Amino acid sequence: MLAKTFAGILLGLPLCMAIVGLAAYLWPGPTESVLIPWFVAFFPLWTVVIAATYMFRTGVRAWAWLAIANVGAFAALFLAKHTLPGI
Amino acid sequence: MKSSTIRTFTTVHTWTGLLAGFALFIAFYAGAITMFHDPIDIWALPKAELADARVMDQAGAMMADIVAKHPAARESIGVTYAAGHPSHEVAAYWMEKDGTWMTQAIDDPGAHDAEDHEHGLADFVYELHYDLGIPEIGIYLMGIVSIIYGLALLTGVLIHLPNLVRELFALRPGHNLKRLWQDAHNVIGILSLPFHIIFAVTGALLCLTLVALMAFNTVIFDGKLMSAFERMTSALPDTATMSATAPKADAEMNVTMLPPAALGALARKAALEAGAANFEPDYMRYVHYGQPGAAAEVRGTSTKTLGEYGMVALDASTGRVTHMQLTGVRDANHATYSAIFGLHFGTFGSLSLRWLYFILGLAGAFLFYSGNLLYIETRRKRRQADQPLKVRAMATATVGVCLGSCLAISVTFIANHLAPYVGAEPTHVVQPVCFITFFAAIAWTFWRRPARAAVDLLWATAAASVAVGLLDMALHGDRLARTVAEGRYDVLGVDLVAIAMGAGFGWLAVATRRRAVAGDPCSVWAANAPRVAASTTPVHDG
Repeated sequence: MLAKTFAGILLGLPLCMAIVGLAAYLWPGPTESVLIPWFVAFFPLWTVVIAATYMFRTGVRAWAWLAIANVGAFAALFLAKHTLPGI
Repeated sequence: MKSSTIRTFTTVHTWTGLLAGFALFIAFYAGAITMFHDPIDIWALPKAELADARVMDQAGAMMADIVAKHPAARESIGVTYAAGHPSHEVAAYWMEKDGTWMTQAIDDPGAHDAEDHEHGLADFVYELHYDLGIPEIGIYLMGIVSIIYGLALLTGVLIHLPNLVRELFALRPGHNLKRLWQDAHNVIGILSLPFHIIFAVTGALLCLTLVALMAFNTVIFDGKLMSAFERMTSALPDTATMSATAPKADAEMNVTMLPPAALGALARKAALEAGAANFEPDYMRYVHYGQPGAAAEVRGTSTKTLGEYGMVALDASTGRVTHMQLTGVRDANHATYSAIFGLHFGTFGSLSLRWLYFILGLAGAFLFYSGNLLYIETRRKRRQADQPLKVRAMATATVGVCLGSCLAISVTFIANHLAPYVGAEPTHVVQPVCFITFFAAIAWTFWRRPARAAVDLLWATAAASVAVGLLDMALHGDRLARTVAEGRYDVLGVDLVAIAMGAGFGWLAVATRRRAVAGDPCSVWAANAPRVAASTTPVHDG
């Protein structure tokens, strides 16, 4: 239980930041145009990720899957940063 | 949903409630009262009169004087417009080179640090609701509390989901008190869910925006977010770019600036032409005061829109409108940013909306209180008077912190009115009186045990709240008569609501006493529990 809690808090935070960042970069039109709405979505998204983490069968699985999701999200963000205009 | 999943979420709901419930009770109780910040501000300063709108005519000279004495203010200096409550004085704000914010009010002889100021009653209660009176870190703690609150809200809905429709309007009074409390907790939680979602989201944002922005700036946007954030939330173009492109400042070259009152009037005219229902300037700032290309941004409030704040940028010397970000003519960023404030502060409607927020705020406080009662009821030992330590601890903390904060706020209102009679400034006494009363209430709860202390504290809060209204009528009856004769009901409203809340606390005291005397003796709420011979069965934790 505690392992899942910390997985959700510690790995959920960068994951949600990357998702919000990706959404901003991928949005058609200037990145800046809808940045605040995406920023507002960050805290609710993090909350949902923390709650969803409890659905993993074990703490180890939670850490592993969230770590993989983080790597994927930041890789996509890296690509987006180098191919899309950004702010 | 599997029953094991529901059990997991129940555990999360319990723990999040334990961690955040007390802080949220205070935030919602003080926040509900803050819905009437301006009436309380007027009520709290019986001798003060509203700043005359003509005071604004002196603001232009004050700004020129400040900029002459403090060259750093040239970069950016702001001033508030006179508003409809007394502690909102006309004051200038600017940042010195070392990063300290300075302020000077229109009748101040000189500048002083903006952090060094005492708070009046209304501002104190407002601050209490977002930092619990803890300096520096309180606001960040409340931001974390808001996130935990969101998690509690989400898990609470998930647990209740299987029974949601069937039990939506169920309120089953009867012998099973836990059932009644559970029904009350669920029905309030579900019916006010939209309100709570708003507060979980906007509360976290208002407390943690700066921290989150810095994190996003570094990790996601490679240091470009901060200047973009300025563009996304103000009407002025990037001030950093403006500095770079501005002609080199020359000490000789000094362009005359239009005064704040004139710029406010121009901004209002432009806003009305753009379709805003109205536009009341409340703050403006100059960028590059006195230099060629100087700009001004006037912020004002409009009605008939979700986000009341709008901004008009003007050329500070000619008054030509350059940009507008206000209702009807703003982009998604400004609309969202403005809506966060509108939704949190309940400014998108009239007096009836403020009352609705007040009632929902008190209902929210009840939600957290009833959550604690459910914790106690779930872990109660039904066949023995002695209750487990965690049940007793929870009862003591619930009574001490929750009822103690209600008492402390009522006593603070009294102290505000009595301070001048003992030769003290009300602004100096509100904070110490509030904290001393709060901790005294907690000590009293330890000493008297929660069952009796709850009755004592409720009676004390009832008496203090009624006294708030009666004291004001007795001490400042002339002001009450004058304002009512002028058709202003702020003071009368605060008096009557205080007395009504006193009656409400009195009713709670009667009900609590009834339970303490006649309720189940095997409960932490029984005042005279017969000391059953020490139970021979070991106490198992729930």
